[in-house]
Amino acid sequence: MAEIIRMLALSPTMEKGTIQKWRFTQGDAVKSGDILCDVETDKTTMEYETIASGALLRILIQAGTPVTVGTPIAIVGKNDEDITPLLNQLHSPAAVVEPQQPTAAAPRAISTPAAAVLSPSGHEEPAHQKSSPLARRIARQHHLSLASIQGTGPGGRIILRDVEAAYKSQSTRLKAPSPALTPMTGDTVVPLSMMRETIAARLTAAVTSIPHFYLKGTVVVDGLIATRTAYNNEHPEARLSLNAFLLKIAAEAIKKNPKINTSWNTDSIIHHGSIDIGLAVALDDGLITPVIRDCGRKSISQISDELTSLIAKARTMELKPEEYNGATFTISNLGSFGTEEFTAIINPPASAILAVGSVQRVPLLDKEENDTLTVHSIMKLTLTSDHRTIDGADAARFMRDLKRMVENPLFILM
Amino acid sequence: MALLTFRDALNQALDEEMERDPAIIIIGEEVAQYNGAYKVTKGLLDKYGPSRVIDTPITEEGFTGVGIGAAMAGMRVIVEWMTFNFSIQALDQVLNNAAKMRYMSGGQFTLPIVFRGPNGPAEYLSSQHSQALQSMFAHIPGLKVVAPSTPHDAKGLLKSAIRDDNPVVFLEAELMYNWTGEVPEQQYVVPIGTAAIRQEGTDVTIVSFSKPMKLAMEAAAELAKEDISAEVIDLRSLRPLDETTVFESVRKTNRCVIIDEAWPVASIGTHIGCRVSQECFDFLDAPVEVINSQDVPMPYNHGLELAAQPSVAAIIAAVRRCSYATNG
Repeated sequence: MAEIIRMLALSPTMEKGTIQKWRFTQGDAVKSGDILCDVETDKTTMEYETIASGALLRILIQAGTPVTVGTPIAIVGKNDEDITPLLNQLHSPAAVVEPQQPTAAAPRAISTPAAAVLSPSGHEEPAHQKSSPLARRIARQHHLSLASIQGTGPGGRIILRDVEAAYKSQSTRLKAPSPALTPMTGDTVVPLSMMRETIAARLTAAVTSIPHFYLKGTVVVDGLIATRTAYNNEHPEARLSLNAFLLKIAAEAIKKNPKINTSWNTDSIIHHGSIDIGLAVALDDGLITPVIRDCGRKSISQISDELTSLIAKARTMELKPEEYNGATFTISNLGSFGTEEFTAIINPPASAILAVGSVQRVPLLDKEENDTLTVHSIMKLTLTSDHRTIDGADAARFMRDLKRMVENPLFILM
Repeated sequence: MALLTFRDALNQALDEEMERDPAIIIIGEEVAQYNGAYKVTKGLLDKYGPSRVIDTPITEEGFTGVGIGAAMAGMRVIVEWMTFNFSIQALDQVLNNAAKMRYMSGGQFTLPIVFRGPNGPAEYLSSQHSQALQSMFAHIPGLKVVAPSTPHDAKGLLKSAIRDDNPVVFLEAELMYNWTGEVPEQQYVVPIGTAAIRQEGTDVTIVSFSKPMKLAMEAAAELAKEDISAEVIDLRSLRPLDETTVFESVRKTNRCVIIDEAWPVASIGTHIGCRVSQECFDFLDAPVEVINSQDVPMPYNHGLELAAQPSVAAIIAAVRRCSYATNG
């Protein structure tokens, strides 16, 4: 039976490769162990060794074309074998993109023409890569991308030992304890919780792979506080949180600046149809970001209600994956601790995160009142952006619109 | 503890229970004067007399029906089938009467009856007398089915089966009657519906029952030499099935090999394979392996007869396959 040969990850970080030269021509006999072609990876040129034997029935990708890992590049089988069904299968869209079912792990319907799809952790999963269920589960737990793992089971199936090897090599990189860190008398060594491990892996990946840049601004919140106080005095049973206002206003500012609501996808940028904002919630050991979906279409009181229930679930660790995965924008508010201003690390797949400082009473020069000093409530906001998807001016326009609406909440309606 | 044969352990169970409860009778071909075709009922006629140990003509459907009627009327009955190959004559009685009567009478009748005898292939007996029929009985709601592999369990499970108010199909094997094992001096029972972990291990779960348990243990010993640590589970009961023990083990070892000497289609082995795939999906590092007998009537030629059945070599090969071991 003819077999599809796919582009493999020939280096641990390879996501794409370009075939430089085919060593065989169509119709040649190849056997397991032969060097099928030379592939230019992200690092160097590697020899692609085939594990299939038979006739090279079809070369699907000509030399010079870059393809993502997992893309079919050739078909090997018996001479004179009919490969039409296989070709038809390849031409159907399902062969290129894994059928995306709305699973808990991928709550957002992301449509992408590329062979790779974005998983909630921001890794790419190649299409049709054989792997055991156990290997998939363990890889998911450790936020390892199957695309970067070489399968050693039958037919290249990724099995437990492959994931363990990949995890070990990754964790040696991440965790190699430095000699300076030898525990001394009086020190306590606390093993990593699953959450701490995830935070470490995700944020290390974010900081090392995303070009971050930062914009700072100060907003006057007198109007916002007055509006909130007035509403809450009238509705003591359903008080609105300051965060609910910020989520709503951020969503409105995003509507005017849709580039903020995007995700980098290696060979494309995904513009999200829904503004899903995560709010970082501190837990005893770690943090989690429950996500309010579609903030652009919700009222502040709706957002406030949902936040209340999600934050309660977050504190008791009862959030479901679809309730914390896949934020398209994030807000982190350390104001309640008295922090005046800070910068935050981007939470992929989002492209930006807004860091919110505490409300402070400060004297400001009032231009309309002949430069007299008057006391106002202000807050410092810092936006961290991914420069691959957002340029400085985009971020600045977003901050300008955000400031206008925070200072004049009625502008939300305009 | 005394070393007893499987046969004597069964005999002890019958004797102890008959002494305990005068409502117990044994009925079947050659069970009384000849002491049983395989001597499992040895001495019972002398001790309990012909009203409780009853020889019958060669009429499986008849005496099985008599047994079921006696159980409905208040006796506690043990029906011995000379072999399970002959039980097919009595299948209608078992399926339609024994398995259904308690249910269809709305609980007015209980059916305290045990159907026991040797099941599965022995040697040189050809197709009609070498059949492992556990799948057929385990298929039927209303029946319990047990299949011990040690003298200890044979005695303990037979006592539980006799005391049970539901029909229990009790599978023995001709080649197992001379197996010996330790049996406690004091009285005990083994509850129906619990599996036993015969050997703890970390790399693969081997599941079997009845006679092939011997192959499973031999294979596990061989595999240990290759540094493959097998956990071996003896199901002991086929219905109800102790799935929890199997699932817990597979979730630990991530691999599962099942051995069942019945034919593969709709067998206990393939059923467990399906259940493991459903309940342990995210824990499996390899497809579940099921080793059944070949899907053919048993050949008479001895070489082919052995080749048609599960073997130590086949188990080792399956374990290597699902462990991705190099010499697999």
